[in-house]
Amino acid sequence: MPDWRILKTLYTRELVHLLRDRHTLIYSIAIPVFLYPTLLLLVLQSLTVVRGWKERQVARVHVAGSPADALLRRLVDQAEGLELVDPPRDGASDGRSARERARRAIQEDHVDAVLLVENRGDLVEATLLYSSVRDASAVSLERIEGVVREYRDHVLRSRARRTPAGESILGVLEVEIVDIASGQRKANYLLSLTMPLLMVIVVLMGAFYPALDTTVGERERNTLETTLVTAVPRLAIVLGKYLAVVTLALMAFALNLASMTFSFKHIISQMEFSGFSLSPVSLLVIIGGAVLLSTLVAALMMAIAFMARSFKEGQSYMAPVYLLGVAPVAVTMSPDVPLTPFLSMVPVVNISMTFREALQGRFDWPLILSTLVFSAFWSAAAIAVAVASISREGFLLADRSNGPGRRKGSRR
Amino acid sequence: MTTRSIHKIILEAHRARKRKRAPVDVEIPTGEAVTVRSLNKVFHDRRRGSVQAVKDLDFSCRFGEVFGLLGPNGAGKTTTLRMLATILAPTSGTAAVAGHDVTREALDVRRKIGYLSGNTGLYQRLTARETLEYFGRLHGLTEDRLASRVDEVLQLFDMRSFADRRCEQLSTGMRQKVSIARTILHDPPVLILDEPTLGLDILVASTMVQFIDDCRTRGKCIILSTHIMSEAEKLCDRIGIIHGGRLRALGTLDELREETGYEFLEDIFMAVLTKTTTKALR
Repeated sequence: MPDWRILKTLYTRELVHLLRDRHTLIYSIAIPVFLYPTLLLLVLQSLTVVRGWKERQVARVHVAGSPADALLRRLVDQAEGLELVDPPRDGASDGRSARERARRAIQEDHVDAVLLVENRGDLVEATLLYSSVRDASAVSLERIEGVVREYRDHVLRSRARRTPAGESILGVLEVEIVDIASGQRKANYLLSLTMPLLMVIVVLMGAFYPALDTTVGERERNTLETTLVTAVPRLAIVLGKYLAVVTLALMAFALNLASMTFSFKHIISQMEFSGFSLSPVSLLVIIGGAVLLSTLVAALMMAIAFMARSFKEGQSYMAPVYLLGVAPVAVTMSPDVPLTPFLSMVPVVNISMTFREALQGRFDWPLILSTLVFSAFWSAAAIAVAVASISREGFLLADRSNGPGRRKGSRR
Repeated sequence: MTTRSIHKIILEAHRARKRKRAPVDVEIPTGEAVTVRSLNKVFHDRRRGSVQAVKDLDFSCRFGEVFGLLGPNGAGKTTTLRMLATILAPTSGTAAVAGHDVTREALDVRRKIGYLSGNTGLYQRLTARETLEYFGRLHGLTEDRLASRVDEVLQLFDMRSFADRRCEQLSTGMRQKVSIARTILHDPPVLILDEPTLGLDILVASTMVQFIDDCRTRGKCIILSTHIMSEAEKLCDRIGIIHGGRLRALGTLDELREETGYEFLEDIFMAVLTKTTTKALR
């Protein structure tokens, strides 16, 4: 049974020491509150600007080939965002094929796309030349496809009118598309695609600096030895540090969640959705998941940090941990990847997928329970590694300049 | 009158003062405070293989005694003190502090010791008072006792003026005072001091020397490792000279003088080392 007074003393000291540190405040508070939401808003704002700019862009299109394509030329001329142009003629190009001339006209930036048309009786064959690496040219593709569809409908209707059945012959299948998802559900879905990954990043970032500072940082400052010679079990020392790191990771999470909720409401309002909302059960699962994620990430990071010989070495260990934490989460964020019994055992991924499901209002309780059990297991294993590391006498000796480098020793 | 004679007179005067200061009302516990028997420590190094830092060490010290552990760098002093402080585990042999075995009863040993070394740092972002309160609570002092002990040590080391300043804002001397206060806050019967005056100016070092002297008069056992011979001469009741992990000489200053034929500790120390090195070369 732990001595709660001792544990509280250790925890309070760690927390006070961390919160008085500028780096901790930057990593655990400033970045989650300001940087990520600002970045998200900036990215979305930039995307909107780029989309608007693309929509306003007018593509120059040349229609070449059979003289019977007057209709096509007219449709291109009337289409929004397209401008019918004819490239300048030069004597040297007369010997070349129409396709070669079209290619050259695009390369020399006289036009953005060329539609080559050839009449073969009742069939009109068209070839569209464009360049996917030029914005205006790429924009023209979709618009010309619309013109081609319109042209086809026009020709088919005029042919149908010449038959006894008239235009009714074209009515084979009429499709009406109805999206039953409410604006709120759409907002929640959008949220479920982005928020879990962001939350994992925030918790990793929130735990990153405190995990290093309380372990290898303290050893570097030669303060750990003073605590180790008090009559306090090693487990209590590790737990005191661990709880402080968990607190800061959770703090980062909570602050970021509040900040992101505010930012997301602004984004959603711009997208004309009716706003997002969470059921009490979703909220409960998300909060529980956040606690689980913070305890797991803190334990894993501390176990690794305890193995480092210096703060610098600890930082270099953390970079791959960061990637290993984020990459699988990014991959499994796709709605096509379901939370399976196997994935519910994978640390971090299981929690991020539970977040995603909860945001969409889906709850598979056996898998949520499995996530809980396995996350607790991984956390306990990581804490055991941390306790074993701090109990290793080589831990205190590893960075001593007057000591014999890395030593193996018995456990205390 | 030669320099040596002057030095001898000063030393005798210091001892006389010490005898005069000896309290009559302090009850000094009887028995051995620290016993070390056939203590060995082997480190396993990837590059150098096995390194025996301490070999068959035997000594003991009593309450109310300052025991000096002298030796050149790498002699095994710090390793020995770290084993007594339960930071390192002995490879073989036994050591007991205030009747508790350092291996089997590590937590009991830690309750009985105050450990201070030149390497131990302070939590820079805590104030001096917070530091003392933190360590007091870890040592299990009740809140009432803690408050009175913190007040006592702040008074004792004249720390009130900077008690609420963060350690990162303190001078070296002030920090050393905080370290000493931290070491004795729980009033341990045994003090293990590993080069406590390392890097200190003469004023702060002299405060430290005074503090050790006072601890002895209050019946504490002090094991002191130092490179400063004058400090050892002034303070130590008995001296052990360690070299190559082994104890090469042990006794009072007078006994060591008699054994080596030299007057001053510096000469005694050199004579013991030379004898050891010559033996090893043969």
